[in-house]
Amino acid sequence: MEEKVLAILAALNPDVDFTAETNLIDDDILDSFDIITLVGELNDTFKLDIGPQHLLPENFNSVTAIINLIKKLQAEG
Amino acid sequence: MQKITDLTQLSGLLSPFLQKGVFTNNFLMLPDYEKYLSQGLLYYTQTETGVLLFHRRHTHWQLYYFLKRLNASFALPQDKPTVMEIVSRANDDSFASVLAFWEKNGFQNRLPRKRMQAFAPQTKLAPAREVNFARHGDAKAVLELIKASFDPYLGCIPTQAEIEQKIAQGEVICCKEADKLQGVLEFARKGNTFFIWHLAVSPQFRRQGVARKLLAFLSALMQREGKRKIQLWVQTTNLAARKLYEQSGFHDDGWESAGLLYLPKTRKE
Repeated sequence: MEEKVLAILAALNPDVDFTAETNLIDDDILDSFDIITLVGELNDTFKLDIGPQHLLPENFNSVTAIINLIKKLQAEG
Repeated sequence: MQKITDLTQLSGLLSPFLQKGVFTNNFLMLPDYEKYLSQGLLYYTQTETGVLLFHRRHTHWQLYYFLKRLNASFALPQDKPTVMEIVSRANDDSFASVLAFWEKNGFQNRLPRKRMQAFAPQTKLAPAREVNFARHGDAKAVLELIKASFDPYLGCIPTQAEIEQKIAQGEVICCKEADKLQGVLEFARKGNTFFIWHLAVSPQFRRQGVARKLLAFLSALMQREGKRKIQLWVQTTNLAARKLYEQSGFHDDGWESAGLLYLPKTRKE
């Protein structure tokens, strides 16, 4: 799962080491304009239903946070 | 066009379109949606291939689209203008076709812009005594200067209440001489970034270094608060402004945008 998430993030911005970043949104490393693209990729790749209610910075601030969101939505089924 | 009453309804409308390959100009986050919903300002129209989301503003409708294909037909509001911003990385091949689609549907690209940023803006200028944070009593003059300097629909013109709040937050800087407002810089703090919303100089005080003094104040503030960078959008055709920013240490960051305007058919601008 982590590899897939990292590949999606790298496609958005190949210059960033996403494994080391923990403030992707708050530090403006991921642009607000990137979030909708990221959500589309995550929904498509992991067959999720990330909706407007999940669009909070804390869900996208790090690879760990993104994986936690994926796992939570997968558990909710 | 129908009003959206709550987040559940909004999620039901948008979730099918938060998928790879959907055309959208949306960049709203949950706090934005919650704010607009609580104010009763969100509306929508469904088309055969997507959803159009409208945020009602005082002077216009702000449009966010979610379309599976660029061949939809739809009716736009006729009571006031509709505007939207399409933001893209400069190397995005689909940008031109998306623009062409909306222009075919009656929109004009009124405000092409580039985003610029500076990590270490030049601070050679000493702090000028005539530059300081705006005070509550400056709100009216500040708002008038912003209104006179920016597009009425696409210029993100704040309301009186909004500018008063920005002044209270210490996010409005003024250059004044003998109580005469020469220039204003309105910005927002976001994480480690200062984002400049408006930088305007009154016509009779242009070419006198007012903008540079305002930028110098912001740069010093940035260093004092430990911020990392300053960002702004500048009109692509405003070569004088772009030159000023470049000389102040700003550079294009690879994002561009189109500010599109649709005027109702019966309305003359």
